Amino acid sequence: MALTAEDMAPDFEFRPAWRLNDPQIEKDAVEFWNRLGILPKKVKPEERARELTAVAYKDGRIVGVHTARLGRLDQVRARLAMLRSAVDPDCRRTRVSFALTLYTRALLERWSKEHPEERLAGLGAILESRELAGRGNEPYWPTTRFILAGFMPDGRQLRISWFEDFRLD
Amino acid sequence: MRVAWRRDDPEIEADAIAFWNRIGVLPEGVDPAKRAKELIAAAYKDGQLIAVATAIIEHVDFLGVRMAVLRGATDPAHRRGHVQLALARPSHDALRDWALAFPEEKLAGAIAFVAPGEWGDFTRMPVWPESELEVAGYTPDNQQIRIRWFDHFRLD
Repeated sequence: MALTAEDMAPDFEFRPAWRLNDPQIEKDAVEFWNRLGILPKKVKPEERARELTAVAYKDGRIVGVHTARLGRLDQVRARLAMLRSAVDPDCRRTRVSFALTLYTRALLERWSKEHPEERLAGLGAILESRELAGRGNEPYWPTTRFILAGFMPDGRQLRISWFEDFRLD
Repeated sequence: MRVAWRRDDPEIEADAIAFWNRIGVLPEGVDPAKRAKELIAAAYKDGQLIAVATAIIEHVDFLGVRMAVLRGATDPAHRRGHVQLALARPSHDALRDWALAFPEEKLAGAIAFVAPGEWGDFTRMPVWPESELEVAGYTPDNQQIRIRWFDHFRLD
């Protein structure tokens, strides 16, 4: 049986947020970003909240969020959900970010099947070494099916995880 | 299926050379005896070799690693079968086992360049079955670039 986010990080509660416009989750996410002070100044938290895919709660407050923006990645000529991740520093050694990736992948793959007109082919991520927690030297992550597909000019890794049932143009 | 990678098996090499000569697929100037040294695996039917997978090891700049650049050839009489698919798994296993046995070679995985139209609708699948080669890009002349990393490999 496939590993789930709950299996991976059982102390957390995972909730879907993608295209749900859930005011409570959005409010909690904004509070999370403000508390951690991690959003760039030019980014409005309320707008970023519209990109939420999934969140992780612990003891009634958000400790991890994933957001995604859909866009064409020219390198692979396909539309991908480019992921961003943020986790409370107190929870960084709990695998919650990894679990959120698993959760988001399943959620968006299901959404892609339900909305074939969106032509969403998979997930993409541009990762800095500090986000990789020692896993950056593994070019293939079997649980989330992310492969290393190249490097950005500044050295960050480009990773892709295809939805296997998708068919390219 | 018979594995040939770095085995210098004279029988498989002779069969492969006869196969290439029979179907006339090697470009002019390519020495069949040299290409035979690149054999990964061969598929036989009724005692006759009907398909081969070959590879050369090259540095792949956009990934910064060494990979086995795959090639395949199939007897036209068997193209509608799934001979290359059947070759995929033993070819992968042979290269992976060799990479594990020779870590100093730093072989990271396999890469294939797929010409448009060569595989029909198969090229629409982002991840191929059996070989698990995944789309990672396109060349300027519109070939699909597919890669598969070895599970054990670690980047420097």
